[in-house]
Amino acid sequence: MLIISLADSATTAEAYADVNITSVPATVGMGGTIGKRLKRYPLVIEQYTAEIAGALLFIDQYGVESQNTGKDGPTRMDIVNESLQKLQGVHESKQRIKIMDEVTKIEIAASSSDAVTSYPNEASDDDATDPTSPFAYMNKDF
Amino acid sequence: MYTSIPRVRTLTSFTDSSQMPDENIAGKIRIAGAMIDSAIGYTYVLPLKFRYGNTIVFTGEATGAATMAVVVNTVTYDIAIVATDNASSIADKFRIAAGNSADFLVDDL
Repeated sequence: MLIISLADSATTAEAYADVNITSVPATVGMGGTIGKRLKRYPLVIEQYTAEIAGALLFIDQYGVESQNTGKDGPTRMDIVNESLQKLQGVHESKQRIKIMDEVTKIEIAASSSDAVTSYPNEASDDDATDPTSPFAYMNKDF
Repeated sequence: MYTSIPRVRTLTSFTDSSQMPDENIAGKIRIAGAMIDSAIGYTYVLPLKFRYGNTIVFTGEATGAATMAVVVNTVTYDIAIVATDNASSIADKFRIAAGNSADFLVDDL
């Protein structure tokens, strides 16, 4: 049976305590074993990380000899790379995998790194010397 | 690290730690984590938030009636055991007892 803290690492101290199981006493023939407290990241991230690590190990251990077998590291890596592209939203299929929070079931916080930081308006101009411009700026290199 | 060494051992069947040391797997997990961060860094806020998880594995067969007091985060959850209970039924009873916890949720497995 798995117990998951409702608080996330934004409130780390509380989250750490929230799964602090201190007693499951033996009672009339029944008992229980307390597990190890672990960090839980979104499951899709946990799975892809394990898949990548496994593919790297297979490449190290078996190289090309494992081609077309269950230990085919390069093929596994190709599959995971496709998944990573879907996470980024750049896969040729246009599919996008969203990372959802395990408890709230909503998408985790999005980065604003490549978001548009200002939008053109009536005062916008393409003349860089015009003090009223703004252009449409993005934090991105093209 | 986004995953654990036992998880990778299970996935790859590299279960013999004398032939595949933990350090080797930990190194690959670090590389994998860096690849994940590189892939999603422009899409999601890094570092990713996490939650804490823990497990209780109930065992045994009840031999009578009594109350088991399970303590999680200083809160006591009393589980009424009857003579016909087993590990599965006790897990269900704990799930019900802890169902309204403000601190944690319990999975259905």
